Amino acid sequence: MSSSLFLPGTKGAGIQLAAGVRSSNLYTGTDSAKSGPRYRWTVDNDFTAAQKLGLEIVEASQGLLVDLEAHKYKKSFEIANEYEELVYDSTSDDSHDDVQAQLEIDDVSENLKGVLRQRTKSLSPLQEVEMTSDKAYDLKTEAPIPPLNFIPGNVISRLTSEDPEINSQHRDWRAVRRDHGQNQIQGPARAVVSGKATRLELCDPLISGLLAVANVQTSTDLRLNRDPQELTIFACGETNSVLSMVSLANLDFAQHMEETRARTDIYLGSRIKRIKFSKLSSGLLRSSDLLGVITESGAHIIKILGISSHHGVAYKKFETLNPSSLASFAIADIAFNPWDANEFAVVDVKGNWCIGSIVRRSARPMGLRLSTSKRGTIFDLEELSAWKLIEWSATYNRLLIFDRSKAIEIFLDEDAQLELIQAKTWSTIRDFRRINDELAVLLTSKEIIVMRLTTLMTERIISWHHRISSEDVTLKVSAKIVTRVFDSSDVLYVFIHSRIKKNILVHAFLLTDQLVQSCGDSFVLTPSAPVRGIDSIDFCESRDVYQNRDLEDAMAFSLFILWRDSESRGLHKLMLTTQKAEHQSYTNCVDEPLTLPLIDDCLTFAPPPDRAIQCMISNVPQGSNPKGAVQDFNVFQEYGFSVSAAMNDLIASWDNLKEPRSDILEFSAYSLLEAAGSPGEFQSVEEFDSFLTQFTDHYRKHGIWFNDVKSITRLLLQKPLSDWDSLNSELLQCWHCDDGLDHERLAICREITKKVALTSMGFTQKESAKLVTQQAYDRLSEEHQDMVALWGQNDGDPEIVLEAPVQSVPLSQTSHIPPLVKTSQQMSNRNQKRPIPSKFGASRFGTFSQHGVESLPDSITPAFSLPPASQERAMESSQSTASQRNRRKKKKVRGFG
Amino acid sequence: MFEVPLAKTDKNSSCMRKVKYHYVDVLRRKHAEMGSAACGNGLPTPECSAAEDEDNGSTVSGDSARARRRKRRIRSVLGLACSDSDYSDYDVDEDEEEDQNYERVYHSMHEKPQETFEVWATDKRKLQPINKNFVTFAECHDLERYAQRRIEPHLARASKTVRCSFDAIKSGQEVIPVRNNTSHHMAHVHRLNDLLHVAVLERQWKFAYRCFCVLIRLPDIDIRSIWGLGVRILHEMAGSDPQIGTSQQFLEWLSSVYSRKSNYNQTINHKLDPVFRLGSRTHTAKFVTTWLWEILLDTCPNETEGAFIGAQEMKANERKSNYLIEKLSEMVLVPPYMDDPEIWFIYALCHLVQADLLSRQFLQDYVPTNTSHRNIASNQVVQHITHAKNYLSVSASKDKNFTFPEKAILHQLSVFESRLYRSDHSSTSTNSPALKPDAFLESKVLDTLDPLDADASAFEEEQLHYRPFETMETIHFGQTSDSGDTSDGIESF
Repeated sequence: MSSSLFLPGTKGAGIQLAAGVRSSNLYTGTDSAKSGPRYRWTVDNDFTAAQKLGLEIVEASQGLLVDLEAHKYKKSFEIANEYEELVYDSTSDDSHDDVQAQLEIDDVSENLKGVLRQRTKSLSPLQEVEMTSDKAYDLKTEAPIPPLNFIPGNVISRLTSEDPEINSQHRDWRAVRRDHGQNQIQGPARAVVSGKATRLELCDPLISGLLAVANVQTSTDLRLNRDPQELTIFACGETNSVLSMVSLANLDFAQHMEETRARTDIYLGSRIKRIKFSKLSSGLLRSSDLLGVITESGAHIIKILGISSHHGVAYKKFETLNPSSLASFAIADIAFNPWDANEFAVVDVKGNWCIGSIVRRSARPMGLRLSTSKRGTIFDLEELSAWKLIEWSATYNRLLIFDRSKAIEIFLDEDAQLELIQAKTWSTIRDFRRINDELAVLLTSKEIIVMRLTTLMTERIISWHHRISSEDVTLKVSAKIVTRVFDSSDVLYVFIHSRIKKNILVHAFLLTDQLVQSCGDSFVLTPSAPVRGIDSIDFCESRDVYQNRDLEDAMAFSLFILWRDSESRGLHKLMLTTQKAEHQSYTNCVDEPLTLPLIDDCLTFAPPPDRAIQCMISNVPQGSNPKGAVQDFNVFQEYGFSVSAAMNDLIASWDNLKEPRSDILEFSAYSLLEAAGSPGEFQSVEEFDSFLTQFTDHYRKHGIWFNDVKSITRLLLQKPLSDWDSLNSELLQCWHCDDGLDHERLAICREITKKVALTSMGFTQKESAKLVTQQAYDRLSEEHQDMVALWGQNDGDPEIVLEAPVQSVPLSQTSHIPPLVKTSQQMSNRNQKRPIPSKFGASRFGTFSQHGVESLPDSITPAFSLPPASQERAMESSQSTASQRNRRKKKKVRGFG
Repeated sequence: MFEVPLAKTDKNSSCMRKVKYHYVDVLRRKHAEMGSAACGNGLPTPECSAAEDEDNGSTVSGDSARARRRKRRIRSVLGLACSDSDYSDYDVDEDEEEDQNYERVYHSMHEKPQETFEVWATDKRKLQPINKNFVTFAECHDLERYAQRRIEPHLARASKTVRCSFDAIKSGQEVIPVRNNTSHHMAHVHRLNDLLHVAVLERQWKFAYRCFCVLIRLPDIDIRSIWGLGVRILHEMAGSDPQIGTSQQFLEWLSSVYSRKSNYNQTINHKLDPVFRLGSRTHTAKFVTTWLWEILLDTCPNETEGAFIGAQEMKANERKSNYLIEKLSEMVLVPPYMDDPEIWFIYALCHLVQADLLSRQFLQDYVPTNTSHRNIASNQVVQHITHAKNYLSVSASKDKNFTFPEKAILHQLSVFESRLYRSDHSSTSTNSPALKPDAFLESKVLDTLDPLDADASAFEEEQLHYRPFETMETIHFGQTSDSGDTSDGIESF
């Protein structure tokens, strides 16, 4: 492959790829070097290479490396251990409960004992006994700051104000927080506001990257010509305000990091939002020792002076860069110049940026200075999100600044700026990761874009449409280059992760000099840890394993990854390897029966099924095969006897109530299932239907009302069926199977039909209903009685009603008219001129009242009462005028609702 | 989790967009007003102030102030006394703003690209001076306060979700919408869509095929949003079931069904992006280019180790290739393909591949020994080479931003051309059916990286030495034959 080879493409669009899409290929002729010709293409999406580059999680490697929650409660555990004996001797009321709990343990089975004892330890009342060594933090330790998220004040005021409905929502919100426990609050500043009417999840876009694995080379290391050391830096503590640094050198990852390592904690006094380690240009052949930390109160720069695995990290903290030093807005991001260790750049939430430098004069040894000339703003009124990102571009004097809808490249030497990307329409920018001096990865809501940072222009080379929902605003990207995987090719792995899903989408790109190709389709990795999402991913390069490469084949390797979950439960470790991937067939198209293990996987992508569905599944009856027609006969005979007996009892009880007290309204209706239970299993639904028909016919003569099969099935299936057997047939059609229906499926359908029939066949006594209606009517006020009487008048002939004069109903009465049934005209006129639906119920009544159909009698089926064509036109025109009136009214209100 | 292939019409989100764009619009207007005020007051020269007085400033401002005063008086009479004077400031133009669709206003100000999801700057001439003025806290605060007051009445009737979301977004936070499936249909679509994507990611093609089949039959689903997945699945399913169509058939169907003749209107608020979905008079649909690439790659598949091409296959490939060339020759006569450099590039590659296939015959066992056949074959090769060069130049002229490795391709063409000479030499001198061209090619031709001039001279030398086509009257190769064919080729456009 020629070194100058590249794939054709348009500048500014590059090669655009997606699953199944081909965009740019190059024919490189036939190869006749061997015994016959072979075509050679340089393709945009290399599936051959992809077969060797798939990554898989090594299950055994997964685990928690640093338990952040344990750190929070570490003290309480220690104290509990120390004072374990005291628990029994304690005489205080609180501890008495613990003693009681301890005593109860004896009664529990042995295997549960350990677990329970552990729990009682954590509940020990003596956890606050030990005095903290550091007096300055007494208050914090004794009464920790309630770990609440930042939620804008007006959101809270909206939630807590006004009507009881909102208060109930507020309660719901609290409830959700309680359910999710501390973790949710510790994680990304996120608040779930849920309720019947309000469900939304807020997310602070500035919080990301609370974990960094840095290759640190201090000045001492440089002097002694020592290699860089790996340092893990992460935020921890109850409010994520403690910056913790641990050296990973020579650490056995099988052990828990807490036990073996000396951790250095820096209390920053404010929530940490982003940790960024300076990464120097590869041309300088050294690593940096500067660390930038963005907190709510400002930006901190920390210089690492020395690392010891047993004594922790020696550091020097420069003075805090306050928001007031810029333009009084919160600082959003910091970047270090890859070519100058003393230069950095900051950007605030509104887009004001400034270059700064670390002052090395003796007068201000810990000072930072912001430039007065190298500053500017990318402020955009249309951009409301606080997310901003700043990075150095291809050269010393070029900066890239991102907000959600654009990327601006700053040319400091030319004193100019260029709007490199404008993403205001179809997509928004989600994240950007500078890989080295030449390549960078941009993640938008639609694509992964590999960019080349050249001295001339920043170019877009290749993109992959990832198809993740653009609603997920928490998407982040991490990238890792594995060098020399093939003979002359490197592989760039791009990992996309989200704070609300724990799956990692990985896509690989093949880099061969100027040529960048995609490597097959994306694939998904799902860590086993029970967390909600992933906050950040970083790579421990020193632990990666590379195996010797065969001449023809790709190199096998393993990558070691540290990741932090979005709920701040801990830092997790993970090993990815390509070795298994070779055995995996990429064209998995063998004729296997469709199995459903996939469902288990995909459930992690979507919320679990509704409770209602689970309930429905559990209610699906188990069918069995009954003996035959003889048994059916017996079953129905027995059931007929029992149901008749039950019915007779009910009729007797209703007869007793025939002369009720005038002030009590007694009215009861039962289903067959309530009255007489269910018959046993039978085979013929036809017989069952016939049985029910005979039964209902018989009792109708005695003045009992039964639900009609047609009305029940219309409600259930939207079409009336004449008998239950038809319902059974409809159900049987739902099975999609090529091999016919087996007995089990038939039995299940029968059972469902039976259950539906028995539960929905309600009955009541006609006389009692009339009685109750009369009573209710008598209790109405005179005005309402008139109205009901008016309703009754329409009982006779619907034609007359429709042809009644338009003004037959006084307008004053229309407001009291009960809600009407929707007529079929509205549905059928969908394609015709459709009036704008009004929000005001009263006006709708007004419209219909002009035709006198506002009070449809119950005997008329409204869906079939079509007025003549002339009236229909009149109705349309009147509706349109009415809706115009309403629209004007709506305008004045100026609402969105 | 994954993009749903339909346009969402969620009441809350559309309402949220309305509020947001209204807010942005108010901010922008106010900012412009402040900016102009600042500019006007920035230079308090006598000329400036005099001009302002003379202009409509005095009359208009006086009128508006009077109108405002009157309005306030009427309000007070009606009992709607408004203590906050800010309210009255904007009452004047309130009715004018009422009918505006702010989302449309917002989108009308920004280009809606068809090729990419974002607008990428490719020209350094668009450089602007750095905006060095910081946005101050006070300025921002004033703007936001003003806009909040303006938007507050409109929020009065919005749902609580919208109000909370708006408050959060306004303060720089972001909102993750909690999926609230309002209907069983939507729940079904979401679940099926997730299953489809997961199945593709997990490479469970049979499962994915089932999901895809069901999904595209549901109402409101836009197949153009997921055609890529369909192609991928069909590609993998090829051969597993003869009843299932191939990915090429699917792409051909898409290309024929979905019109390329529609005009892309920038003023419309499109709900879904056109990048991978649509074609228009100015944008070639991606499924068309994918289809062409699929045929071309199918014509001569990128062979792996050990798989070589037989004579029969070569004939079949030639037929396919001819079909593609015919298809392309029709396509390049109509927009948008006639102006798309990529289509021209594919056209050129077709001829490149053909030239390779035909020129290979001169290295194979079945090289026609008959002189006239040989002449015909070599003429064909030359014709294809000429066409390839022509179309490459057309491709480059259509869009200056389109780049391709021209040098490498021209080098290939010169290698193909050299095969004609090589084969003749070997057949006449050695009479061996099995050709071993490598040593000669590498020493004589392949080293000439500068393609045509050097090659032409090399060819002339060879011709002199080996006298390859003694029986032929006149044969033009390389650049000499280019001129005539080029003119023919261009005329045929």
